[in-house]
Amino acid sequence: VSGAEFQNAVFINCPFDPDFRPTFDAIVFATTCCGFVPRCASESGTVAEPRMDRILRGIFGSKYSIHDLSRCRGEGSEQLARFNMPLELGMAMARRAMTRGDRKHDWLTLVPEGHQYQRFVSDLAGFDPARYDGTPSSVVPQVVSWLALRPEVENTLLPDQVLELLPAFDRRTHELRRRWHGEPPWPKLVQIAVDLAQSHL
Amino acid sequence: MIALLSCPPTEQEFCRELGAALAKRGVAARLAISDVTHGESFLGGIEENVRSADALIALVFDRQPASRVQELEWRAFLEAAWADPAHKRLIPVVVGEARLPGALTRWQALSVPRNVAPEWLADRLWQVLQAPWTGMLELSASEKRKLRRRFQQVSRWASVVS
Repeated sequence: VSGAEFQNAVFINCPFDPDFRPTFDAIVFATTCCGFVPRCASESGTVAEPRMDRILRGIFGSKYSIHDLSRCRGEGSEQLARFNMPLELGMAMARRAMTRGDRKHDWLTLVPEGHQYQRFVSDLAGFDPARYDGTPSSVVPQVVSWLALRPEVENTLLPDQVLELLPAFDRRTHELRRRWHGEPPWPKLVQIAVDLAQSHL
Repeated sequence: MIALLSCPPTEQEFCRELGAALAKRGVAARLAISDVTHGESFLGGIEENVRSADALIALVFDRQPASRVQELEWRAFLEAAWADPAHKRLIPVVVGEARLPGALTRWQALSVPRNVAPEWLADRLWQVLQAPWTGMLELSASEKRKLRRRFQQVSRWASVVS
């Protein structure tokens, strides 16, 4: 990927489980409503390529990335935390160090409200991660306010407009996932977001 | 009335003088990062200041790319103004040949020369603060057309990258 596709791509690094899906969808939709193409590890739809290769391809093929660390907490009977997201944030930070000028990688980290993150990933304290309460309605303003200030952007939909359209996006993507047995082609999902965003203008 | 000022680190002296000039006109103006101490979240500290402010004044200077702190200030300004558009007055000030970030073009901006005097700018701002607040600007027809074109490009880019 090069040129405009790279310059306007945002790799979204979030959990993929059903509980997180409403938040993931909200980030995908908000990204589209800001005029960026959302990307994620499952976009190619192929399981033949190892997940880590897909993630690396996504991060290296996108100028921007969004990393949600809100699930870095003990889960299940063994209270194990998932560390995929911090690992992938590390790749994005390395990518930033490798790039220069207008190709310099930039990233947004999302963490739970409060100062808890400073206990489990204190090195992030100097980067001012965006805090949200785990709901789609609180993540949308964080994503829009960050993307709206990128130099590629002239205008975006506003957070209220994104949130107003979000239930329709949820309905249509739910139907799309049902028809494709949970794995719809990524461009079709993005097209739903684009159609809805355009409908508001 | 409480006003917060956002400016590049190199222009803080000018902003302090502007704050003093606004104070003479009854506006309690201070830097958006005032009282934000090292060790705490800058964004959290700025958001705290923004909560108690009536006016958010973003000074954008030419030849000065936005610093990391200034970008955090703008993010906090935007989120507050989006959440309460009827009451939070966001006033971008374009100094010299500066280009406003796209997100800030949704508010009526003041445009002033590079060598503007703090007292003169304070007068202009005072007039704006006295006038009825009109809130955010609607997108013009041409801005809507541009945004529609950008959304169409997003479709094409999604096909290329997947």
